Amino acid sequence: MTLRYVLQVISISNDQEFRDHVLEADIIIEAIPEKLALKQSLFSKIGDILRSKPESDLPIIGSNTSSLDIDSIASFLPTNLQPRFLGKIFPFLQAKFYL
Amino acid sequence: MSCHFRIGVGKVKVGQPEIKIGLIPGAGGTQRLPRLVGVQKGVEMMLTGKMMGEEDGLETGLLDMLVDSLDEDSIDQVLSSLPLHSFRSKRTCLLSLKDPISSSISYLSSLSLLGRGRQAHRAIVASVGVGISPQHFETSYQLSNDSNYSFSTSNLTPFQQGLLEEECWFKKLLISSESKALRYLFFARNTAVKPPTRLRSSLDVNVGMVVGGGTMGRGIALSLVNCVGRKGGTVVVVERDEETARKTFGDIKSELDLGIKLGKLSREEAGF
Repeated sequence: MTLRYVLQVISISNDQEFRDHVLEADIIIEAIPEKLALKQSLFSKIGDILRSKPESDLPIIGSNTSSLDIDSIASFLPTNLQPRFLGKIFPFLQAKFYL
Repeated sequence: MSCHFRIGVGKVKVGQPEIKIGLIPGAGGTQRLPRLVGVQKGVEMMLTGKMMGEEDGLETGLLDMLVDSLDEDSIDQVLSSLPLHSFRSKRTCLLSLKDPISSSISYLSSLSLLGRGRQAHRAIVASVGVGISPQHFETSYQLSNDSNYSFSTSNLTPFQQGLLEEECWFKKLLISSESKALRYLFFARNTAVKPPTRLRSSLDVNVGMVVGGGTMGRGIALSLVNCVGRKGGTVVVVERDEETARKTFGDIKSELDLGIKLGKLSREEAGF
């Protein structure tokens, strides 16, 4: 089986690029440091960007948090996105081995 | 261990890890190991299940010799340096014990071993026959300061009798719920990290995004690669600044590189 993919690593400071990718994404997983304030600012930002997107086209959004309250994190998103929010811890070893 | 000589070739790991699945070494392992490395070391190895490298193997006497590789030249060298004249005396079952130890039971209890494979601990002590009854071992924590409980190697079970004792304990342990549980755990753990097939995603994902390229983020990015990669999709990792983004890109590439090295991924698949 052949994998064909494009891998891009971008900086969040590049607003336009970040915006474009958020609008394009089918799934967005958050894996930033376990600080509620950081997560709040990220999810508000993502929520703002996605405000213009039609309901049927919204991505799945996940947080990889292991120690923070998942409901508090969800509350940072606008209400239309909250049903599409998941707490998802990835088994890292598995992620690597699945490769 | 039933061989006359043991030669370590290259990097070697030796030990008796059976305790980790709630069993004791079988096929004479409990009897031969103490005769090769001494009672104290042997019992310790069996109770902890720890493996040792080739250097320690040589030092303890479990290995007789180390060679880097085995080819025609080194075989000659090995043969010429082994004491083949004392072939018979090198039979493990005929070896006499090297450590006339008089360690007290506090040594065993100091290993802090009770807890995992509890029954197997008792079985090892009983089958090696180091002079501590299983009941004593059971309560060895309380007795650890009691100097009356000492064991000596003179109490070592004669070889043939030891074999019978070992077999009897081994069979008992094999059907014990404790060992069954530990074996289940062992295989479950192995299965968990080695899935038989690649994860197939039922999600229709063409573009996956991970925010944060730390250890977790990179791992998630790799699973997304696995998920979107079949359709020529895109994985975007978002970092906090340009410099970190460059570093993370390099890190993910090296992970993929490792995948290639391990044969889990072809060069084409990795997109190189």
